[in-house]
Amino acid sequence: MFGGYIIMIRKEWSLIVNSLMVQLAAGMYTCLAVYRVILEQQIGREAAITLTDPGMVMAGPILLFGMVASLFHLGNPARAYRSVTNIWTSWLSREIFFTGVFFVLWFVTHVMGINGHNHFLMTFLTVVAGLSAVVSMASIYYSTGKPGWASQNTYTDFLGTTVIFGIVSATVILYTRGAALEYSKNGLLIAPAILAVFILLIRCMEQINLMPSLTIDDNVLSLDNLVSAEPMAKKSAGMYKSLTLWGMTCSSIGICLVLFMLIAGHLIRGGLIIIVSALVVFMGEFLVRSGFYSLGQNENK
Amino acid sequence: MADKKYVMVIDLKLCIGCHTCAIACKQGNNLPNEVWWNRVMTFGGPTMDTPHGVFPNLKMSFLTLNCQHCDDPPCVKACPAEATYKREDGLVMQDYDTCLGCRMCIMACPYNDVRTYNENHPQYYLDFPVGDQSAKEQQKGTVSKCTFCYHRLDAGLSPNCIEVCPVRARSFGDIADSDSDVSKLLEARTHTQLLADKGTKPSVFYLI
Repeated sequence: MFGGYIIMIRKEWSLIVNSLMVQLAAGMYTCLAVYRVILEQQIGREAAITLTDPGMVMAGPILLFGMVASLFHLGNPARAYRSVTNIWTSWLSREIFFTGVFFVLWFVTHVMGINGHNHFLMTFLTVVAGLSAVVSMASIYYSTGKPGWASQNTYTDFLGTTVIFGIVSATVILYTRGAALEYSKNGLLIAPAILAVFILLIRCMEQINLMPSLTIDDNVLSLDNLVSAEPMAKKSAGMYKSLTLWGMTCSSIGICLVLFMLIAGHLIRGGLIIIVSALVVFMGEFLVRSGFYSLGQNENK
Repeated sequence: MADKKYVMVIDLKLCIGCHTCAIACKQGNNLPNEVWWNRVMTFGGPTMDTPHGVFPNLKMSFLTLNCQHCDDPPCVKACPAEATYKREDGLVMQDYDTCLGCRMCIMACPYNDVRTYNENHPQYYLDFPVGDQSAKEQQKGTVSKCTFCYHRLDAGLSPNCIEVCPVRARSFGDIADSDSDVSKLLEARTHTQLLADKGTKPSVFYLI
């Protein structure tokens, strides 16, 4: 099992890192953009920008890191520029297009912000591009028709990770700005943390529905069973189940710890715990995503 | 070329599992070590020549599998670089010069193992490829698959696997021509397509 995991990670690390980084960037940017709008009503425009800006700026380098990681998946990285030529039918082309647009809009919005021109429309368009990249990414796998991928679970997982990353990272960012205690009191951070727990519950329930469908029936003799790629994907079901279980457990512990610290109001004293909790969530999502990609490893020879 | 629609017809009752088609494909297309575009499988299991059934009532049944050159190919839709494309005569092609090596075509294909990703520089048991010199050279970091031997078709010849079959289990031709061998075979015999429920409309028919 562990040896198989190492082999799988060696083959799929670039896709795992790329998907998680794009979702972290999109989630963090979106969540902080929403917080900015809410905080503007409470503490004024300038103060809201000061609190949220560092996180929104950080989304760009994180996204860039994810984009660079994806190049390592390609057999010919030098031809990567051709990857948007089939945008009309290929979800991969669309994902790369929207990721590129997300980065460009982030950059333009950031430069405008430096010059004191913070436009809501630009921020909104950046959020739309980021979320479109995540939806396109999920659609790549959904459209393959493979067991475990061609299910609603793929969208729930990818969008769920985006929202969870957004909420957890935004909490950490506000903590580092020294404002989390105050906003945890008025519920600005608690309500999203409860939403994160709810999303994780939905994902767990979907996994419970999905996992039985990954069982192989070796006794059925047919031409289709002989040639189909589906049994190959199902052969990785054991690794998928185990990684998903461990990952969901880590994410649950991390998110519940964040929620507990916010409700208990010990955020300032428990700052290190919040950061550790965020890292546990990240590790959990890494394991869940590793499980997801393990379903395709037999085919990516 | 535009009026033609090439299909392959394989008679499962005639196939004796001799692997001659697989070898001819491998040599004719200069396929590197361990790369097979055309495989011969048995119903009994994944290892070579495995019978199925319960002893003593065992039976050997063979199935050859290559790219099905689908009429509605999911690999063409999935390829982000248009490196996988469909010719007007129905052949689904892979352009090694534009392939990114993203393996989306492998993920999108419902059939198992009909494509190979050349992770490293192509290696040959001899120091050089020994097959048909008009076959396109394999490249590192690209995906390759059966081309229905397009280089031979363009020269007016049949694919390698068709020429060598000792029992004439394989036929190839234009299904748009009602006088062609393939049209007559499909009209006369019961046939099936693999994973027809996927809706990809494969161009390889199996006589059963």
